[in-house]
Amino acid sequence: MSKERHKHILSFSITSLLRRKGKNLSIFLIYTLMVFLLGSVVFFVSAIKREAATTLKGAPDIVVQQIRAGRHDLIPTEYMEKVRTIRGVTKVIPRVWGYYFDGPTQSNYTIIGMDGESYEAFRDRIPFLSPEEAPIGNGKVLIGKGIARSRGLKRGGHFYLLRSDGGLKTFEVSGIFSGRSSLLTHDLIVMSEKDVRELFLIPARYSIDLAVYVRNKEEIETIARKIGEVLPGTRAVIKEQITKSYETVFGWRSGLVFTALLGTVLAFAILSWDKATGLSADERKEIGILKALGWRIEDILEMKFWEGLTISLTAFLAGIILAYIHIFFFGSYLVAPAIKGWSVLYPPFNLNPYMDAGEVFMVFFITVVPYTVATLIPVWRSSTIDPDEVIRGI
Amino acid sequence: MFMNSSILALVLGGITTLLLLIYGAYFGLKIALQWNPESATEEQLELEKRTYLVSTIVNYVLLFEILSLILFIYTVDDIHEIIPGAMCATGSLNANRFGFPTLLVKLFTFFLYGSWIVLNHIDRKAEDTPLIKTKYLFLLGIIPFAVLENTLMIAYFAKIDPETLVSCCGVVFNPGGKVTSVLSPLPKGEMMGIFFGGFLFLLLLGLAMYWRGGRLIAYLFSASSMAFLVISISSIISFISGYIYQMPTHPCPFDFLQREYHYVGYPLYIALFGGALFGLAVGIVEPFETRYRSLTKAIRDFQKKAVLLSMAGFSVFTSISVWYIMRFILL
Repeated sequence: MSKERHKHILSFSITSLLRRKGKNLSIFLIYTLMVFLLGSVVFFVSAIKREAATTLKGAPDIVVQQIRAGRHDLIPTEYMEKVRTIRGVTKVIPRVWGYYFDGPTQSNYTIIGMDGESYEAFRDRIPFLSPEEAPIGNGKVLIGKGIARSRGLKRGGHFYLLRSDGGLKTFEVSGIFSGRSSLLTHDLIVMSEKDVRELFLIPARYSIDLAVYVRNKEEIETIARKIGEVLPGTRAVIKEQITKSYETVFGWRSGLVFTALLGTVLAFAILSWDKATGLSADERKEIGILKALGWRIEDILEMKFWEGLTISLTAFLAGIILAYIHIFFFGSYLVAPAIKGWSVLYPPFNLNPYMDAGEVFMVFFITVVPYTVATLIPVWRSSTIDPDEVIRGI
Repeated sequence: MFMNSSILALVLGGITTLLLLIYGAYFGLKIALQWNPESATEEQLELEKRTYLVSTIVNYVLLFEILSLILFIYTVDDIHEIIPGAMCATGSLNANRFGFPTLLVKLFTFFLYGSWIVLNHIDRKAEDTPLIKTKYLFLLGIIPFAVLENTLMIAYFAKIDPETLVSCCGVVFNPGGKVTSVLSPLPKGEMMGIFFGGFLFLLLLGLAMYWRGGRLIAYLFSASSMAFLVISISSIISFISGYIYQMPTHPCPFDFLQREYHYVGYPLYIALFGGALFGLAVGIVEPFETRYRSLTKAIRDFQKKAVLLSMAGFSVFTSISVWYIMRFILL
């Protein structure tokens, strides 16, 4: 019997919502918009964090850089022997890489020099890099999607880059990286080490930095300190430091945007308070009649509870679904500029769809709680309307 | 440290709920002081209307409290990534001295709100609402804990220092660790005995309560279910978590809240704390059973329901645990 009662009140609430479409639609739309905005920020940040984490999985445990006059400088390749002798170091790879500013497209490319073994290691450590077994070396290169698009290149196509001394160097595209690793490969050109040296005029005895791999992850910090002792004038950067600063930077940026959006939540709470307070004469009459018919205060409260729940849940679902589509299928146009902002050539990277239950719950918490609190007192007030007052038209 | 969306949500939600509760308690106090069922004045009528407001508020506050508890656990679990040394919520909670107290006070207020709602539910069953003064004074008593809870939580989040190394579950919950010696002082075999023995004892007690009732059994059941809550948490640390992770050396009560373990921690803890709350409720209402004639029947009916719900909650908890143990043994 009591279950039946709840069911009837619920169905009454829904028909009553539908009867006042205009008023409820405006609340619904603004509610949805708010969930959409907050949801977009949250989805975007978590997706980009995951992407960064994937990227960093392949990064070396320690990177050793030469510092001269407080600046990053070329490191003598022979230093690797000294690092290799430190106990616990499994592998040291001298790396040759750099940034190339491309005038015509106004963008920066990342150029990495790799040969057989180091390319294989690179490919193995990074998931969804590229399935292609394309050769590199002798002017043959692999390029990222962004470069392919901006220069209109296809597999087998030719392009040239300016050498550091002003001469031209021609390359042939032997493969294009697939989209799934876009954050990492969008602006990337992988070529042989020899080609990089020719392009940037790096002497054979020097490298850009040394990548150090360590067997036991617990020892990374100790080994980094030892490298500092063995090679004065160098700097050892630990992978974990980079991971942590990514975490902090994105957490901080999203928090900032989130704080800005809290104003929206407040405005929405005020709006819903106002809507719930300003009962029309019709609505007052309806409640009065219901009470005259024998509805108790509890019943009216329950009816209003169902109304609020229906609005909250539908708006929440709609907002979350829209945010999901926005972030993962439409390139996050609305929130990306506020949160991302690092390099120039990064417009259209598609994030890998991912949804964390906890984050969805958090958005639910921050939107539904204010709405409920704002409408609570007005709802109570309307449930205590005296039937005789309303019916007599006072 | 406040620049994290979940933390912002928690702190704002906490403050909103607290303000709402104070607003409700203010009217609660007015009702407790001026309540006079004999009178038919306008003031009395207004007070009667206000009771609906206050109970609606506390119902929502409890709901928000449960949601915020879940969000708190999730957040703490999530921020381990920026705290050095932390691998799960244990490490994050260890980040400063406010972490674990926040969690404990949050759990405590959960039981306080729950008890208030039970009293209110019972009271509304009687025409003369005899518990009206008791429950509104009780509500006033909850306020300090709600204030404490939010202060601790804000202090905790404000004082998290991403530079300080913390010790995580591997250290804290391993034999010889600080927490283990308090929560599970016994070896695994004996702990298992106590857990399953306790569960059977509770079931028998529950059945006795359901069929026979009686003051002593009601109090005993209530006390036992709180004791069983503590035993269960010790057992989670001692052996249940080990079976869930399929790794007996990893006794962490938080890791299984993560995605890798299919979020099994949430149903597990919800069933456990649900069972404990209903168990507690059986004893909370007991003193009023004979004191107020108008309540006797309502209380008896309620106790029967609560006993069943409590046993159901504990059974779900135990079944999930047993399922993991069986899976480990059979596979």
